[in-house]
Amino acid sequence: MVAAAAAATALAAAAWTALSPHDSALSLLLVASALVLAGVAWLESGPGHAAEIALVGTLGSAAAAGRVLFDAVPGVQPVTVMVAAAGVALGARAGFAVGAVAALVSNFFLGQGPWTPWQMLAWGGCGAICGVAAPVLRRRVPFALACLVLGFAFSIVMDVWEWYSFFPHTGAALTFQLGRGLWFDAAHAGGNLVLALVGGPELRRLLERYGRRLHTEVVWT
Amino acid sequence: MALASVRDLRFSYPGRDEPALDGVSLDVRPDEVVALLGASGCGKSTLLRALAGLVPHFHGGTFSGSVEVAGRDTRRVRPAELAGTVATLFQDPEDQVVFASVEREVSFGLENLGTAAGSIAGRAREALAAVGAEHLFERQTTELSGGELQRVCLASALALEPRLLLLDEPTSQLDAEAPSPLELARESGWRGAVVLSEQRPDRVLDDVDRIVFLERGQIVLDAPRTDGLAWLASNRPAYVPRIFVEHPAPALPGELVCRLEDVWYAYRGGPPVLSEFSLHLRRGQIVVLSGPNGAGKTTLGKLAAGLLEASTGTVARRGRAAYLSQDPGRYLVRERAVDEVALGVGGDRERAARALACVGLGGHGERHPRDLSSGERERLALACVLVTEPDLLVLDEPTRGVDPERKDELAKLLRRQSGERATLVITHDRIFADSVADHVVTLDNESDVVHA
Amino acid sequence: MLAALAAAALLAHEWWAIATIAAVALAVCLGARGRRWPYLTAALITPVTIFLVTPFVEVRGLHVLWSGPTIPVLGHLDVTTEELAAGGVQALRLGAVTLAFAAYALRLDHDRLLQAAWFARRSVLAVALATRLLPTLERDAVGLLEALRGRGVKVTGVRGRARLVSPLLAGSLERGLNLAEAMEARGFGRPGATRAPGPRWTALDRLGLAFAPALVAAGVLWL
Ligand SMILES: Nc1ncnc2c1ncn2[C@@H]1O[C@H](COP(=O)(O)OP(=O)(O)OP(=O)(O)O)[C@@H](O)[C@H]1O
Ligand SMILES: Nc1ncnc2c1ncn2[C@@H]1O[C@H](COP(=O)(O)OP(=O)(O)OP(=O)(O)O)[C@@H](O)[C@H]1O
Ligand SMILES: [Mg+2]
Ligand SMILES: [Mg+2]
Repeated sequence: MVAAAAAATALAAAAWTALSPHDSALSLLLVASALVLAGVAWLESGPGHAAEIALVGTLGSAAAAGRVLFDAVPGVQPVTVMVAAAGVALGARAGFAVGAVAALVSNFFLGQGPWTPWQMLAWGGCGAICGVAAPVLRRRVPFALACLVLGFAFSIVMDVWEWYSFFPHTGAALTFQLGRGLWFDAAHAGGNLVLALVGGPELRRLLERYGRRLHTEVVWT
Repeated sequence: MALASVRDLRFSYPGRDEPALDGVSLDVRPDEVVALLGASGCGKSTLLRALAGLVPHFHGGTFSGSVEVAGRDTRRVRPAELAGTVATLFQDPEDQVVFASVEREVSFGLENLGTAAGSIAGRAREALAAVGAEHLFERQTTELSGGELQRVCLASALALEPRLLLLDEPTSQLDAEAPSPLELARESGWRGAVVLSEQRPDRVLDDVDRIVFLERGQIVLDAPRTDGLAWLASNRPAYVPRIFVEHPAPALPGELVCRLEDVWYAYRGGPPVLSEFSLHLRRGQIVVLSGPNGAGKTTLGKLAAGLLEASTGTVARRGRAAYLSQDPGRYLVRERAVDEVALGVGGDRERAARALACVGLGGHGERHPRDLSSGERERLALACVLVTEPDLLVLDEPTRGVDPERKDELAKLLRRQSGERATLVITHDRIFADSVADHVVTLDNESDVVHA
Repeated sequence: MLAALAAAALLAHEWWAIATIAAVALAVCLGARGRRWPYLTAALITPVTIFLVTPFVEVRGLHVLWSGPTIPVLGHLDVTTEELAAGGVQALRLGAVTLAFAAYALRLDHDRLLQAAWFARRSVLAVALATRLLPTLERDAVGLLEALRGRGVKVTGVRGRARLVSPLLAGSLERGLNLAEAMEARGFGRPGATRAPGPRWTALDRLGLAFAPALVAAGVLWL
């Protein structure tokens, strides 16, 4: 129910954005918040036992720690890789949750702002996509390539959001906004590629080892 | 009428062939205290989990037989449904705290049970007061000591007014004077049944009604306290609380390996933990360091091994030092036990295998370190430091989770090798201290030193 | 309340209204204890960029102040007064919103904030767990390094440290599962859970709550 309400709000806010480009900052914020709320409702619909929540909390804290720790080093951005691996190993819902939690918690340290809902959404999206595409991402190279693409996608989402909210709605401004972050985005995506190539398989093995507990089976004899 | 009854329970963890429990039957009366004893890995924790319904629901695996608690069959009710009836205090308090604030932590269980919202805070406060921890109500869980945290966890459990309380090695981190959770629970006025597993029988055997001894997943003894003690005395003497017989006089202590002189130490921003402390460690001598929680024993061990630098004073050391940390099972880095041990000697598998055999893990070299039971991990970590053949060996609580027979073996091992090095053992375990020490140093909170 | 402030800032079109809001939020921020600097720098840098860039990338206005060259992708560069004004307003707006968020983050105890989300118990729990485990993770990292040094293993360089990431993660996942077990044993996932009421609303909180819709309405109607 909450999910439906959230989705409706998101749609309405999106329509508002389209109709009244001047208020785009507020309406986009509403869109993101509503979508995050929908994600929350998705997580609420999870199984009754605690393993999923505990693993999400643990991974979220680890990813957030990585982000806070490497904040100053461009290109080293462990969040995307970890979220992607979580999505592959634990499924789309857990992947989304890990991304959202990591963004929210790391911003307790790095600063909350109007960007928080969009970061939650973008990283959550990474996790969810990887969860859906899990069957093809279990090998090292596809996984690394996915991390590369997701790294760019994450940056583009954030850039486009900032452009549409606060810059004039002209192609030139968009080009400028994308161009401004280009070096940084490339470093992020390249860093993802390297991290995923080096650490991806081990990370996934680890997550699957513990993720198995999400689906415990009892044989009654 | 039994509160809990276990009937012919057989259980094995997923992916393991040998059963962790193999035909266990047990009845617990409503007000009785039952102690589970047995070697590490014999299935004590598994039996406690089965009583809470966590086995099989949380762990999965192959399950046969039945467990009934207060008339409810755990095959049909999930552990969450049993929460108001059964409460568990797990071995490591760090691993069961969910919230950063003590108040929320104690309220968590009450909320889950659907207690009326208005009375939650009051009941949480009462539960804390009952275990002597009311002053912690507004503190953060992240800044509490192990002992304080354990009280908070006990309060969380007792707040639910359970009829059956399960304690998994409740005294393993407590100093000799600190009251055990069992004593605290009884003093709080709570009445109900307790089943506890314990590796320090001296701490609890006075207070229990019944003793159950497990061996490889089977019950070999189930008897009232006095009969049980008699059985233990003749069959498993290591488990009987005893006064240790004097061991042969130590060989003459050799050269000085480590010298601490007038050492001061304070953690950043904190008060001094150690002040004007002096200690000499000689080759061939085993020194035991004991004292209450928070007295600074770990700090001292790290200073001696060179992991911390003293604020003032001198620390002089000759040769290599090795330090076994307080909770080593957490800090394993490789995927096979033998590789883990070999890490300290540049990958020399043969030396590693010998060290493993030395601590009684000969056949376990290929297992994943994180699949081992807590006592087995502790011994694996011990092998990791012994393999480096250090001149100074510092062991911080090496007997945590280790069963009495292994403790005796460990004491013998340390004594046998004592000539090769200086040894500093930090322990709360009096019996173990008596059985290895040449010399006992007691550190108390004012960092005064008593030599014995 | 502060959320309404942010919303109003986004809705308002007059520069003086936004400036007032920014000033209020700034005052609230400065009054708070804790780590203010990351927030304040964030509130400064991006708006300045916006202000500097907008005139160049927008095409409108008649009063040309400066006419620049035409650049292939960006188009014709020129600066008009209207563009300057628009850029200024947008910049101020972002500054105000960022400051409002910052005030929010600094002023409110996030534990309490999370508690307010009564309908999302699982999500709140996941966030609470993540915040509680962060310091534990740090302690584990220190402990791991110490344990290895105590075994005579030298950890050097980026590679050596990178090798420790996986055991560290394994340790915390293990802790996570132990926690899950403890949570189930304490009744998590049982239907009919209640919530302990949070601390009472203060008079200030109530005032803020009453004032907030008024502010939003004002933003919609007049500004
Ligand atoms: N989660 C698990 N998965 C697989 N095997 C397990 C698991 N937990 C325990 N075991 C195995 O089951 C057996 C019984 O373990 P259990 O933890 O019950 O022993 P214990 O008597 O509590 O030992 P200790 O005194 O060391 O805690 C051991 O061989 C152990 O290796
Ligand atoms: N890393 C740290 N930072 C700040 N304070 C610390 C740190 N480690 C320990 N302390 C404090 O120093 C004091 C001594 O701690 P230490 O760990 O040496 O005690 P201990 O005697 O080993 O206790 P236990 O028996 O519980 O293991 C305690 O008050 C503790 O809170
Ligand atoms: Mg056990
Ligand atoms: Mg200690």
